[in-house]
Amino acid sequence: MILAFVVIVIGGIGSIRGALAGALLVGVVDTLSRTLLPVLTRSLAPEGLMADLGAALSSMLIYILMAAVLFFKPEGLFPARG
Amino acid sequence: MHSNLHHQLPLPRTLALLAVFLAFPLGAQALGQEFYVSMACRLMIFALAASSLNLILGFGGMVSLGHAAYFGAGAYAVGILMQHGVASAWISWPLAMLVGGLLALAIGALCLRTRGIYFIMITLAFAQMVYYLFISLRSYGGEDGLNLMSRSALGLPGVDLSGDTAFYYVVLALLAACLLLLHRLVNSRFGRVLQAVRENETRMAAIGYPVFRYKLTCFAIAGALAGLAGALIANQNMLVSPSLVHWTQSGSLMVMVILGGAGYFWGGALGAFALLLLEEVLSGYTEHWQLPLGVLLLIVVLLLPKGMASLADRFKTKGAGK
Repeated sequence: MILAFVVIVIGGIGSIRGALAGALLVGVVDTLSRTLLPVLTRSLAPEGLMADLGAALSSMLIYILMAAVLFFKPEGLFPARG
Repeated sequence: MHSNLHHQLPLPRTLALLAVFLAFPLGAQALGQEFYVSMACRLMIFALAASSLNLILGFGGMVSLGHAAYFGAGAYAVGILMQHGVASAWISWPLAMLVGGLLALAIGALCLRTRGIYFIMITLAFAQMVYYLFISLRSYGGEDGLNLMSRSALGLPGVDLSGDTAFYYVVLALLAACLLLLHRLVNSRFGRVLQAVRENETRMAAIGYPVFRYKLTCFAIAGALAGLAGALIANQNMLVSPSLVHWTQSGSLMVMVILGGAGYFWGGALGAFALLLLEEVLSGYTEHWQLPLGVLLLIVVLLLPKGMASLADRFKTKGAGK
């Protein structure tokens, strides 16, 4: 449910185009970061805090994305017209 | 909304309420129901957290869904310090307030640029970031949370917080002090400006008030109070877990404020007591206590859209009409 909210907010509330673009963006970012980030941080530092950081960062990334989108475009990526 | 921005705190009634709370542990002990002392502690801690949310939601008009972040950060500050051998309440509790306040300051500085539902979502996003941060801290328990070896030490002769009664009185004293502070705050010039900003932000900006700074200050104060509540709940549960930071926690704090009456001085405390007591009573009857709880909450919200605290207003206007 929270994930759907994130999608809508990134795309722009009330915007169908935004929902599609937001869903694709969130899906791709979430899946890729969950796959790649832990591998990346583990290759940088195999043990300790850095290894954990990858997993944490991949869970956080869609929220970071949402915060960034709202910060730069407070109405979402594709604001509803009218 | 309110014709009168002044929030009264009638002295006799307040003192009577305080006396009831002071006498409560003695009564519970006399009846052999010590369990209720610990439960009352929990109620008071959540009353503090909900009152701090009421400051930004009710008085500042900023609907924040990220309050659990400051609450949980305060709890983790105590838990992490305890793990490193710092058990003194005089160090860890103010530090928990500082952590909560600074976190709120940082999050608020970014979030307060947005409005409405976007503000709700961005505060939620930051709270979830904090949540995943704590989950990933494996050296501090990760998903399982952090067990506290003991409660914080107050360092006063004859006061041992490991006993529920002593802890109860400390929580009561802190709650009373914080409520007094909040009362002074909402009735001060700062509080008036804040409530005016809630009613009409553009007008206040046009008059020349630095609206952003007022809102940010309010946000940080609420964060610090939530941090203190977090420090207390860590001591109450002797456990700090990421579930304290989860967004459902923010949601239940919000339900408490709305149920009790956003923008009413007693709203937060009243809502916290009502919600947690209902939870306690209903879960004694049935395993599926959430269902009747939800129905009851719906009924209250439908009948009293401004919350339970508005009931007092109704009686007052009826009396004045006659």
